Amino acid sequence: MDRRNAIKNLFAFIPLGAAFAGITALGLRFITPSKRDIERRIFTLHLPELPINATRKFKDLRGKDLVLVRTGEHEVKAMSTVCTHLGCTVHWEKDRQEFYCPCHAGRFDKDGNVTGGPPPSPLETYKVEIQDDNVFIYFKDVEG
Amino acid sequence: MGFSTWFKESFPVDQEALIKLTAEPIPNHLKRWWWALGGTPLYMFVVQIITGIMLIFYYVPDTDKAYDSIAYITYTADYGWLIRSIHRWSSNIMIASLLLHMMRVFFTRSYKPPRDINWMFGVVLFLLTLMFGFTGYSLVYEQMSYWAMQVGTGIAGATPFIGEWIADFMRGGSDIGQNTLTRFYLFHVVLLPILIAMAVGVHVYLIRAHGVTELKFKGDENVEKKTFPLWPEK
Repeated sequence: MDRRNAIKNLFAFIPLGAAFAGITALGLRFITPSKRDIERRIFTLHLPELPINATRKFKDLRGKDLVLVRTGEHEVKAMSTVCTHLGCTVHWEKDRQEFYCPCHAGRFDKDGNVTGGPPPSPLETYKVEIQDDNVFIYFKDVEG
Repeated sequence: MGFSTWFKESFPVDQEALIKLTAEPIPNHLKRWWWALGGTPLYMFVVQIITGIMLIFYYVPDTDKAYDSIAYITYTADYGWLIRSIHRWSSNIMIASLLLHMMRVFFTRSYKPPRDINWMFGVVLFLLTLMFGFTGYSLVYEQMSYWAMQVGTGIAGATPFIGEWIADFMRGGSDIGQNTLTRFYLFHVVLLPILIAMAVGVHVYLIRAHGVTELKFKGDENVEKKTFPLWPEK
């Protein structure tokens, strides 16, 4: 192969090779599990810190508000405080044992299910695990 | 023992034969695009295999989850929209180029003996490609897919004598449901690819065995070099 052909081939194969490498990179990215699907188990508090019926507010790894409610001796619920109706902040009413949204009187039971008002779907819940009085919550990883 | 000696000894493929295989001289008229349309569906088929394998990474062949898994691919997975779009558009281009290829073969009477058996294999390839399209369309399992399955199995069911058996075989029962989706998935990702790969092999082998007849167009009279190599500049 003479120099002229070698240069011609170089000009043909560099862009082709770059295009091929780019498409391969996109494909690898596609089949690599995304961080948004990875759950992380994170310690939040000791059970004695939270009396029965008391609440504690947190933010999850993506900055969304959630609230922890101790609903029993060994029962803690973690719930998004964003009402599924129009996004107002719900709060725990311990007398009625339910979440209440002051904007349009939406009501949710302690598992987040709708019991009254306009909300179209249950509150978003987080999986809670209690191990030796340590309360852990499973958060979705930061978006990546 | 050097690397190349070791490799030639352990991988005894005749290099000369391999070079001869890829250096077949191609008649000049194949540089015109409408003479090279047989390669387009083949190239699309390779694209379909690669993107199809990638889509299987996330697709779930379950009547409740199929549509959601495709929504996940399209809207959530990184570049999923791209992979799925390539798969979908390549299938359209594959069928369109097959039609053009068939027209070219038909109008130049290239289907005549001794190439008649190759024409028949071409027809089989076309039908297999249509089946790919039909089963792939159904895997999305949305309303359009459901009614396409309903109509498609209904048409198959109109075959005389054995129609009912065929329709029940395709559906995996008398109604469209999980069995139908599982079967269509099986056809789309296992059976049809095996069949089409074998048919493509025979089709390409027959082209090479018959060779390509040289044609001349206006202005070609003074062209000295009548052929060009399949793989340039070796």
